[in-house]
Amino acid sequence: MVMLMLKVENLHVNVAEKEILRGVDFELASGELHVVMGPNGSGKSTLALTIAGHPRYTVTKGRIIFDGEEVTRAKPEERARKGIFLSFQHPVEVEGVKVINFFQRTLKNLRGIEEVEAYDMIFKAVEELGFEGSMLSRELNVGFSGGERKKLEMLQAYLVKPKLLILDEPDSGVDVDSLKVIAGVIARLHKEGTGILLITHYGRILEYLNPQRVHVLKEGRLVVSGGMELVKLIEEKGFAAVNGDETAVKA
Amino acid sequence: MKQQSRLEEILKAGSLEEILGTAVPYPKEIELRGEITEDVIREISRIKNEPEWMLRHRLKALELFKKLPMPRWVVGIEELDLESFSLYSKPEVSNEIKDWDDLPENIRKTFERLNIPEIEKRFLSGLTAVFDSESVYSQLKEEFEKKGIIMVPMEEAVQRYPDLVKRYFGRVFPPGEHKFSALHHALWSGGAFVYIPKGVRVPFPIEAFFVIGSALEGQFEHTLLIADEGSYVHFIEGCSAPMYKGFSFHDGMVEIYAHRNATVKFTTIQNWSRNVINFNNKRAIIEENAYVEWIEGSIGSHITYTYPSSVLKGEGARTAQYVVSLSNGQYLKDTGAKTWHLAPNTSSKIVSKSISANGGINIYRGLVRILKGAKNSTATVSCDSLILDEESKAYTYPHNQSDEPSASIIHEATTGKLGEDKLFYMNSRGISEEEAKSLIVLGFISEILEGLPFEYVEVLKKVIELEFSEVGGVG
Amino acid sequence: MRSNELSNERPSGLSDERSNEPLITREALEKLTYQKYGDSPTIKSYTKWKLFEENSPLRLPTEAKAGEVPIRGNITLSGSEASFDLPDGVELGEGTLGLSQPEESRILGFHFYALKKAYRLKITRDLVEPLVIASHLSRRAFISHHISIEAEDVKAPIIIYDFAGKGAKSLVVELKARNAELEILTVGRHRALSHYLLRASLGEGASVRAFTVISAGEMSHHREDYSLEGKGSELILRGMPIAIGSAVDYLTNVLQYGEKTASETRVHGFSYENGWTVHRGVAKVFESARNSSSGVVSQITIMDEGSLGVSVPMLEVDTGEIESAFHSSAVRQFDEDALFYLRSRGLDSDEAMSLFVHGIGEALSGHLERLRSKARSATAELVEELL
Repeated sequence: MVMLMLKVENLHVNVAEKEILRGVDFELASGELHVVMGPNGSGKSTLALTIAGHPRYTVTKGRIIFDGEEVTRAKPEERARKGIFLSFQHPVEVEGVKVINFFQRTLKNLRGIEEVEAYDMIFKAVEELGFEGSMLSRELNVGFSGGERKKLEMLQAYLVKPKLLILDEPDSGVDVDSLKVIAGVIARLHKEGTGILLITHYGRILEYLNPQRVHVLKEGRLVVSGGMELVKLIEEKGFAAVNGDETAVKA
Repeated sequence: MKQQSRLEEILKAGSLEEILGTAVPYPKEIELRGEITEDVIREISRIKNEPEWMLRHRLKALELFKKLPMPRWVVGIEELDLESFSLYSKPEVSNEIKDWDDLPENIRKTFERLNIPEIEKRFLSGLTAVFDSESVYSQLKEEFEKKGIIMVPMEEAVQRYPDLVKRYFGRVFPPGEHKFSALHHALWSGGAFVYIPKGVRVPFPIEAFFVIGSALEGQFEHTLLIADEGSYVHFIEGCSAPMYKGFSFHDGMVEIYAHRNATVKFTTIQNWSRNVINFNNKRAIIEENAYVEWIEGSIGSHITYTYPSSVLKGEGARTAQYVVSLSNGQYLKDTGAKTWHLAPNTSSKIVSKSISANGGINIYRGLVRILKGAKNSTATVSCDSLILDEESKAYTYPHNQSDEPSASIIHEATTGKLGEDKLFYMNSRGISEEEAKSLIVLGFISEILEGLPFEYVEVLKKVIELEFSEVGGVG
Repeated sequence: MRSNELSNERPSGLSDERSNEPLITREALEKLTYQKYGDSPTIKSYTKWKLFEENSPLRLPTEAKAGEVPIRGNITLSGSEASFDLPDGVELGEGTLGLSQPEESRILGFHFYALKKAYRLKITRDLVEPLVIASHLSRRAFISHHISIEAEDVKAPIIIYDFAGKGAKSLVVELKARNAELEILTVGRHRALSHYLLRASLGEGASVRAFTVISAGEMSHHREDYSLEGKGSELILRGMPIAIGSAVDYLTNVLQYGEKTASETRVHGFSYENGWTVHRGVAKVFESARNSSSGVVSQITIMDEGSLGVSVPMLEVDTGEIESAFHSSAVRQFDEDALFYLRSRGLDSDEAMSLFVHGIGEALSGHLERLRSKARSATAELVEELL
């Protein structure tokens, strides 16, 4: 019997009075990897940011239950401490704050690891993933390329080892080499038991992964859920081809 | 270190504060000489056969004009003789331009050489007397009337639509604002009155080349544009005033009232003769979810002061102000934009591009104020200056103030020069210096040109090419 | 200008020698105004001059006993008292360098009217340890301190501590540098009224890296004027004005005359709890400053409802032969997305904000070498107060 980790119930979300999500339902059991695909403006990032608790996204209806607890109104830092980790589509620049120091702080906050131990862990992780050690002494995301930022997000996820990893378009704006590295980290975390919600516009990162379920989001609703065959269908015929009523597997 | 430092010299001269931008480094302030009497105002009103309330409005404005101090930031190089304004009311004034030969010779030559089409001639000359504005009216008249659009000379509106005029005239830009707005309200003459009824969308830009009865009258023209709820209009004001061989002063005003959900685009392309001191008063009040866009192109004149202003009064109101100023030769453009955010979720955008060449000076003077309670409002300002040679100058004086924590103001400015390398590269590809300059200038303002109708872009391009051609720098 | 009668009318100072600094009579003072030009919608002063008027040397005593100075310097000026503990390589003299005059404005008039003695320092060789100047007032009085520094062919770090605890304190620092590499850290921590003026003249080969952090008092007027006169002179100026329930009017003026001069001004201010934080940054490149570069970046973060932020960067370029010139300004709240990013990594709101401000302080002081750690501990203390 798999344990239910994330349950999203009839989720309605507004941004600045405009309704973006109009009733989203899905469940993710612990250790599963789910993919959410959808055209631009369908509400994919909204879904990620709402689960992580961005204050700009107001839940007007519905609930988010994580690990058996309702977190719909929880602060973002509380959710993070419970084990939800969002890898951002656009990680922000924080000037003056060194990557290494920030990571130490993150590890302390999210895993209770003391600074000295964290320091060693971070360097070890960099080595394990084959990243450049020099990135640790730079300022957080300042002057980083798109690919570098995404890698840095992966490194954090790898260190934090969250229960649930939400990835908001980890494959946008990265070259093929970086894409492989990013997919490698995701696969590794997945193998180690992290539940993953992967949001993507393209299917290309899925070549390297093995999702249990694929959801298609259109105009704020999950129109269909199924397996990898959906990805193929979208690749061949585009999102227009995927409609709840026409596709064999319904949500 | 016995040698005196520059700072000491400046301090001795007592000029440090002046250097620090509290005053524009221009030699002389405008001085007003002579006086305007009540009789003059009564005479203007009588000639126009105005109702009593308009006369009272003028007289009240005259009182204010006398009381108000000269704005300290206005500097110029010429004296203004108020006595000469009294001429304005006399219909027998003879220095009106009726004919080609009244144009200054160098301008005439330019046209003769270039043989440019009619529409361009209008822009380049600002010669309204040769332009048949009646035909514009008659052409549009029928369609306008069907939809209830009103577009008539301001004087006619005073007679025919007194209730509408009373409701808006001087309400957007009141006479008491500063000395020149008071002067304007006392002496106004000419201009257009435009009313777009609820929900009416005017599909093509309205070009305004009004009849300016007696030439000098046009120097105080007043345009009042009311866009009722949900309406749309694009108004283009060409340079519509005559040119004189003598020196003159222009103190015009535009008032726009954009009601809920209305969209107004107001474009001015000014190419006055180089002996005009041009003082403009332009302001729009913008209601809920309405949008007003100003495009202000200043090419000609001796000195221009113009700051199209937007008052974002209703929630969700938006505005954009595009300002392009070219000072080619020893002229001054003191231009910019002002925006007040009074309501939540309002947004504004100011884009200013100035080009200084051959000793020209450009000043950007801008104001963005976000008042407390204008929650989640955003303002962006970008002003770029291009300096084409060593004698030319560019200054920026932005003032950004926010009293509302959820609002944001972002301002960016750059000053660039025409690099020798760039010029050399172009020269080596067979492009002359003049061509290169106009190409670079056009590239520099391309962002603003995009918002204009095609034929205006073409005209503007020509104007700029002309400015930098061997016959350029007209006036 | 000088007469014995006049100096007898003035409150007597610690010293009878009054030959080295400019004087001003009470009559002349009456004629002075705070600003040469009135406020206009686009150019406005945000200093509440009325407060200085109410606490002028004409109303308050111009002498005060020394108090507990939190930091002892090589020069410590507290109230009307001065103590010195100068390192080798620094010569002490009296008087000013003539870079500030009483006739300039009413506030400088007050400064010179209340000034008892001006000191001059000459740095004659490279300093390893920073030269520390502390100016302090903890009593109700109008007290003026005036220090001038000359530096030629030397490298030196300088720290200026400026503490206005009570009454009104005016500190003027004059600086002439030539072929010198200077780092200047200015730490202002005020409760009451403070007026600060730095006048620096940078000759050939002078390079100044300055970092100013100000925690505002009731009203803090803090102004720094730099004149880049020598060919190739350079200035990197960074500032962090913070007002928590108080007001700071921070003015930076950079005048570039020399060829190939370079200046960069970057200010990030914060206003909190009905605070007022204003930065007006002028950069002016004169015709003679060919091939120079100049930039002003000004940002104010408004931390809560009721606080005011004003940012006025001004750029004046008088020459077409310019390498680069830019300015930018922003007045806004904390970036919501950035805050969310940090919170999603487990930091609570306050921690996240503190990390930000800290980071900004670190970034702003990154141009310092010798004084970097001092600058950082000074900002850290302020950040603690802020959050």
